[in-house]
Amino acid sequence: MARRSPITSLIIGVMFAAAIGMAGFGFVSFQRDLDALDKAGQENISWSAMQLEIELLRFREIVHEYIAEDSASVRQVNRRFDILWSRISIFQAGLVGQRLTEYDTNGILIRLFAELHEQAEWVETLDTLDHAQLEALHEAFVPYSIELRNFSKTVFIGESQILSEIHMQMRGSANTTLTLSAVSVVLLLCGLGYSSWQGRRFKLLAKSNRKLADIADQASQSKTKFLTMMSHELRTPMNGVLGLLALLRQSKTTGPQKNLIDRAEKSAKQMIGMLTDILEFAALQNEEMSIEFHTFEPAQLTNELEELFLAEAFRAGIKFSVNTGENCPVRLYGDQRRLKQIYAQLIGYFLDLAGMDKIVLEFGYGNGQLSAEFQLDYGLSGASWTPDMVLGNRSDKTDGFAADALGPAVARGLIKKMGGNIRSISTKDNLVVLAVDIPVAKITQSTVNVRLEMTSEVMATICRTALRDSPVGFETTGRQNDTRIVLFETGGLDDSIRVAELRQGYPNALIVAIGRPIDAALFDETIEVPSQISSLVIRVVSRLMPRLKQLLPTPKN
Amino acid sequence: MSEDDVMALDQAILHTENEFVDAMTAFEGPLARDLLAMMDADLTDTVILTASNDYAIEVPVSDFFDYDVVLALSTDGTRLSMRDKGPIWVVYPISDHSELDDPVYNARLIWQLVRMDIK
Repeated sequence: MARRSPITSLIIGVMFAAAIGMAGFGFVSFQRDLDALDKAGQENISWSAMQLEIELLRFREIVHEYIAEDSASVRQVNRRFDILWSRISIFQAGLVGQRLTEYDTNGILIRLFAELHEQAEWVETLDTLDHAQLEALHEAFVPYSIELRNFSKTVFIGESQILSEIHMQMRGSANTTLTLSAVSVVLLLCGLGYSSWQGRRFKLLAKSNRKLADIADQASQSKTKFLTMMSHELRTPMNGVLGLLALLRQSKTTGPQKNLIDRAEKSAKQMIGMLTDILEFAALQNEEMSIEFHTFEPAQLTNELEELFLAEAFRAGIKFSVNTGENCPVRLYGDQRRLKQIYAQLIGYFLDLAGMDKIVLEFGYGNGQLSAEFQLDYGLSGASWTPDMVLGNRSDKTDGFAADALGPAVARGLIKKMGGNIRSISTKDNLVVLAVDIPVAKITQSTVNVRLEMTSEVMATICRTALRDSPVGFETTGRQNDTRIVLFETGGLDDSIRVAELRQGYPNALIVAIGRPIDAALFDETIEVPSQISSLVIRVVSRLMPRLKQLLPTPKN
Repeated sequence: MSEDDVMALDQAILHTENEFVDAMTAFEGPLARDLLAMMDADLTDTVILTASNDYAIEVPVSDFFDYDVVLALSTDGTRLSMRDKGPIWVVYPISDHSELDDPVYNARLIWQLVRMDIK
């Protein structure tokens, strides 16, 4: 899923914060309104005010009954007086008293309480009063009834107003909260909509990109398939042509005819080489080329390159040599096949087009890299060629055909694939020096030198394959004292003379027979060839590994 | 039950505020549940509290067992008179339980209590 842009994240964050803020505001408003409602309900002011009026009426009533000599007794009158007193006196304390006092703008409660104090003695001595005094007692409280009625009314209206205000406040809070909630819902929906739109947009973009990538991939695959098909289709008839030319060469031909055959053969081989390069180039483009790592000897690589190009160079009148420098290790760990390909492409190109008198290729090693230095010596004639094509520099001065660029392009692609580079060291008048540096690991692990004494190349190949990943170096340079194992292919004949020679030549080596010797006692170990030759690889590895481990020198600190 | 009977019960002291007093006040008197125990009241019962002015209110018995409700006979050491909410003022421990600070419980702070009937 595509990452949101900072702006999108900010917008969504603001929307959520606004929504939460509004929800919080609504909650606080409701809480405030509920608290106000609670507070209004707690103080039973209206009830307390009405109680004053009721108890005064009751007191006056019982006094009237007492005066009328009806049912009331002194005790009852006093009880009602005490009740009235307790009701009136609540204005003196507490929250209820405070609120009642706030409403008592006319001071009715204070005056009535004072009246109670004044009349208390008469009430307590009620049975001693005459009729006139009793009437006076009754009349003393009459005016207060109306005032208390008005007081009750005032309290009732006041409390109703407070409740009404609270209701309005609650209504306002509710409306505000509703509006804010609606706004926050709208904001959230907008945010979701925007996020969804962004998501869809990215999905469409991704889909479109995927389509384009698929189209590009298909085009690339089609191109590769076409190139591969065409190369194979063209190579087959070209090989046919080469075969016919080889047959023609065997028949009686004149000198000029032989020249024609040579030139036709060369053209055909060039054509085949070009087709091979096309395939290699296509593989590089499609990243289908793999790099494999094995132990190899630069000296062997040197020999193979010399073998490949010595004859061609001689025919072209060019002196050609390949050397390994003193600092070049005996063994390296890398892809010898690809390295050979690189150097072969370059050497082939140089021999065809560079026009020098002499090519020297020298291998060196430093900073974890195998360095191949190509010295193109032009002698007295001076260099008319520039290495732009090799280095991959576009230049209008170069007048080579597009086909000429293929070999260097393949070489450059391989060099890049292997993590290396190609550079120009010197381009003086008579000497052009180029270097190809490729990272290759030096074998620091101690190895055991093994000498192959094989009569058949097949057996040699099998042994090399079997020991490819073992700490083994195949001795080819005649360092006899370092050789620790000699693999000897027995031919079913008397091997005693040859074994004796090997014992003398390789005094420190184990002589291991591959096959079934007539006299097994001549050998230190015998590895019989199984009926299935492919199993020999496994047998060689399993039989030699313990020996190799014994022979490996102790690593030095 | 006479006043002496009530005075004979274990007396508790409850310190609390309510809407009828100015500050924290010490209310002395027996716990309501002690009196109800003598009346064999059940937790599921309701008790009717009647004041001298015939104001009556129904209170669940469970109130008196959930809270230390005091039948106050005196405040701050002074015996409650009829003119001052006596002889008995039903007082809830409002300061100790915030949920009691509510109109429902304020209405149960009945004073001049003269009668308790189990329903």
